[in-house]
Amino acid sequence: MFEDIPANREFDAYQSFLLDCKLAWTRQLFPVLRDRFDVAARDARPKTVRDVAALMEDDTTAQMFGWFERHLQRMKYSGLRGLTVHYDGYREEILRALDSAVPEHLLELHPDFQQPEYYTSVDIHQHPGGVWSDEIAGFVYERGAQSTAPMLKKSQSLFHRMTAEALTRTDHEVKKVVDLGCGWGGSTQPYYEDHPEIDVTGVELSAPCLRVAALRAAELQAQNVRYKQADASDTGLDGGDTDIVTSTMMLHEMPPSHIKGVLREAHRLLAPGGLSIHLDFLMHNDPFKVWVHHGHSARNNEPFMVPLNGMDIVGAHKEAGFDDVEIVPFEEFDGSLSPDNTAWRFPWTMIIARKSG
Amino acid sequence: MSTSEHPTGLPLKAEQTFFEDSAIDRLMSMVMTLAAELHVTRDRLAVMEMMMENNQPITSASLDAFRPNPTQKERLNAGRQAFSKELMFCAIGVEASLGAPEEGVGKFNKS
Repeated sequence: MFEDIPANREFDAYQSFLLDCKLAWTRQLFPVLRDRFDVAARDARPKTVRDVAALMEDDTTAQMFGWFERHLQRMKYSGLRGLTVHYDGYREEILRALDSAVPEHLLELHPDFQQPEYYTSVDIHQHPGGVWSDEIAGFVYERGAQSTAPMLKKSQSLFHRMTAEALTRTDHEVKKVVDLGCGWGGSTQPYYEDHPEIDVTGVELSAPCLRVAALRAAELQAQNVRYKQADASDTGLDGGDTDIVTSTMMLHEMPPSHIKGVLREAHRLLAPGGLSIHLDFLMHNDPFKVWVHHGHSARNNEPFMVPLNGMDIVGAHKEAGFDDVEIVPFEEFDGSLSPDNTAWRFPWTMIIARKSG
Repeated sequence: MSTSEHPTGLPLKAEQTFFEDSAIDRLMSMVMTLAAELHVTRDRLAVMEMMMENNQPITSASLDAFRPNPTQKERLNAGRQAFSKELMFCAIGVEASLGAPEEGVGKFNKS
């Protein structure tokens, strides 16, 4: 697919070094931070995020933790051998690959598409220009996603787990799936590749991401997928006949008003008895972890994580017409939910709802 | 990135800092930039030695395109992991040896 991009040992060495540092941040620095918090909070347990922040404000380990989270990600994208810097040198080769013929049925782009303001106002994940403004941004994002959650060996396994969760929770035959905010297609691929009986539509704002997704589907000669550039709150797809509406890591990238629109659209798309299932990040029961999560939101340029975590997501589903809503922890790798896992992790959570039959 | 201009032309936000003195934030950035480049150089040197051991021609292109065999990969990974582990250990603030008791050493002075 992108065979014309030559191997570059120095780029690989740089990125591998950053990933090792991120792993040390995850497995060594975070547990030490937790221990220091437990010692500091021994006499008076903080009840709120604000209390935790005040308690840890002058803690050097907390400052180091924040610094490394922010700057390892900055270096990954924008450092001397960062993803955007490195691949800019192979722009011609990447565009040549992206310009390969993709069967018409796979991809629907709208050149005059107006991106929502919330989406263009922040460089999500510290990706300069976001994942939408540069023609090669989808390719860069796909490469970057390989090390987003360093405890995951391959992001691919997360998408397969999520697909399995969705399919095992449906009580009837699944023929049609809509994957909202599908990005470069990682979350869509397990449906079309492993389940030829399912027709899946990936919906995404970013044209550069959709071009990568469609190119991969073309390479796999997929016949049961199509990608469409549209807003997840207004997909333009036919309503009332979808068995599963899903998203993976999308809700935290939009404001609550937009999330409510997405939930209404999911309800419209679903057939009676259909399943709505979103994988995202929620953390409520531990003020220390909420503080870490809200800090990540600021440090990784993902500002809508905090309002998502604060909204009544069950109530929002009910407002959208759903009457059966579950909040379920998601095990992104074997043992990740075990109390023995002291490493940092995203608070992966599934938000599951069903449309009345 | 050596530019302060955003690809879209939008104005960049204020510097995000974590230490009381923002000079520490900037110095940390310099340290990590240098550490990453030191690793890249160490890796290139190790690769060069591996190629020389096998009498392979050394050119800039052959170094860039080097693909280690499983044994070589293990050696290179071990070197990188040891370096990054040591570097990150410095951030934890944990002593590596037993220091003197906080109450002093008077108790050891037997009369």
